[in-house]
Amino acid sequence: MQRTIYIESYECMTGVSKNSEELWSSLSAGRSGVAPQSMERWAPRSREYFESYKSTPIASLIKDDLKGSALDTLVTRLLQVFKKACFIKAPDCPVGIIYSSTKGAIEDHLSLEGPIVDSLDIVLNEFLEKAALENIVISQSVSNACASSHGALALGKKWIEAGLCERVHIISGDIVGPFIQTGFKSLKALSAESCRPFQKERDGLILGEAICALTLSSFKSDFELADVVIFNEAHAVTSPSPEGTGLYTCASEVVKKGAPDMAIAHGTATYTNDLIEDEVLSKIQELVKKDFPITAAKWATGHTLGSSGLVDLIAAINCLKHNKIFPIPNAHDQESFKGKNYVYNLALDLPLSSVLVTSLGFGGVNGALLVRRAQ
Amino acid sequence: MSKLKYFLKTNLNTIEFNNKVAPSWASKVRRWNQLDGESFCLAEASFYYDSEVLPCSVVLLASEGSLNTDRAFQNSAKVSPSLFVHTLPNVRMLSYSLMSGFEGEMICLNKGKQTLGLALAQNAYMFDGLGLKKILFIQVTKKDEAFYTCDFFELSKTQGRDDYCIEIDKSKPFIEEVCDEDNILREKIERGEDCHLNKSFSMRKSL
Repeated sequence: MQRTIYIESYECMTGVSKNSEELWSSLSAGRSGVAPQSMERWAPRSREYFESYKSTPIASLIKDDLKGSALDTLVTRLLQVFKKACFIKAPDCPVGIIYSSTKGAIEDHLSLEGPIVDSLDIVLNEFLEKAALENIVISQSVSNACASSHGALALGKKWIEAGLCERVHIISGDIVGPFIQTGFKSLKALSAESCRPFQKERDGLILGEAICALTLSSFKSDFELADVVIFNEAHAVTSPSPEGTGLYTCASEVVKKGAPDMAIAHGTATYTNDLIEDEVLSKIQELVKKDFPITAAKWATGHTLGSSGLVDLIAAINCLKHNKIFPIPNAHDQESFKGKNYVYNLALDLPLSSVLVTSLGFGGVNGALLVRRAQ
Repeated sequence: MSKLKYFLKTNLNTIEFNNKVAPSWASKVRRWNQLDGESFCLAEASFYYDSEVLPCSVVLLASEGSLNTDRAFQNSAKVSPSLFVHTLPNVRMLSYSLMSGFEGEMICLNKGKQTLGLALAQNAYMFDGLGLKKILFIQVTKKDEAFYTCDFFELSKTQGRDDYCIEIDKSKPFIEEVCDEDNILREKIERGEDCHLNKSFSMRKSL
């Protein structure tokens, strides 16, 4: 059943911001949270792996200096952000909750001796126990790789449309620790210096941490989730199909709800991601007959994995609030791409009503959403 | 109408993880010898899985995440990128897609020991509004060092032989109270017994 899905509240903490307003000011000011990451508490194997490359890990980490277990760190952060999100008071209604993550509290479970567990479910259960929320009728973790946020939003939308609940809290977060850093290093996916989305000299992604809390509901609010689509293509594990068929399928579906005024791309700054995403966005511009401006946020926040789509969605809502598009800073090469109107170096003031947000991930996952001012 | 009836076709498999010999489906997966146990065994099960019609949507169930492979990556003598890419449970979906040709909506869900039960319950509750003809649930679990269980469950409105019948009463609110944990559900399905899915649902062997 079609119902309007509103975004009732949102909040986030990233490596460059303590809250969503600070995220906006950092994106607008060209401020990045990327810095060297200490390997002080890392197991020798991971430390030696980076040292063998004469390399120091870098990341955009949340700067709160928590030193507990992965579980404690994630739950503490999730509770902090969740409590800051401002919920519109509404009658008692059934509520759902979804945790979007790629690895959850994995750093706590890597010893061969431990029991076989679900490192995401443990985080969600601990959060629920400490948050003591009322009227929760369903709780679930989603792990669709780097499109987990889009997956969580798609599931939450279905729950509300089906009348399973009237409100869905979506919380997200990963920890960038030695496991994830070592893994991406082994794939040669990391940049040694900075994330340069949609630039010819890009050389890889930078990992980042973000905790998001966003609530979807059937209660009228300023912004609505016009549509969200996820699509798995059968091509390869670490790269999309050359034509970006999966992403095009998602994006072309959501823009049926209206041509976007701008797009926030996944923009990880790996060679392949940006090449394929550019191909798809240029085709979407042709499809809607509009060269909508395109920007990306990972130069500031890093690739925040299970939070990636939610960070971009919160950035999109801020663009709508301010009628302004934050730029990709320090960008020089503007000529190698098929998509038109990448927003480089200078912010763009523009009346905005809707934003397209796209995501891709390992395993052939893709996601696209359209967020707009409530009609 | 608040009482709704759906049918669940079940297909349970125990697959040996033997990547020393090229499997029958080797031509469909270039690097079959680099797949982790879950992906390898799902490819094997999917190759032989006979489904008349492709599903509209797939729900991949990862009750243990990818912890077996996570540990293998962490504890291997040499850091292995081919192991790392399997430390995302959704990646094993490619095994099914490459065998069946399926491309479309896929969501990977985790809920510990109730992953299958909750996935079935919520999707049965939502089914009439989703506009889909068939949802396929896939669950892969490591049994021991040599074997994995790879199970397929198809939810639809079409009754087939030996299907389970799921009846739900939508006049009652949804409550997440899965009664049979996944391992119990699987044992009951293996024996063809009725299952205790949820207080609002019955899951019985069709007559």
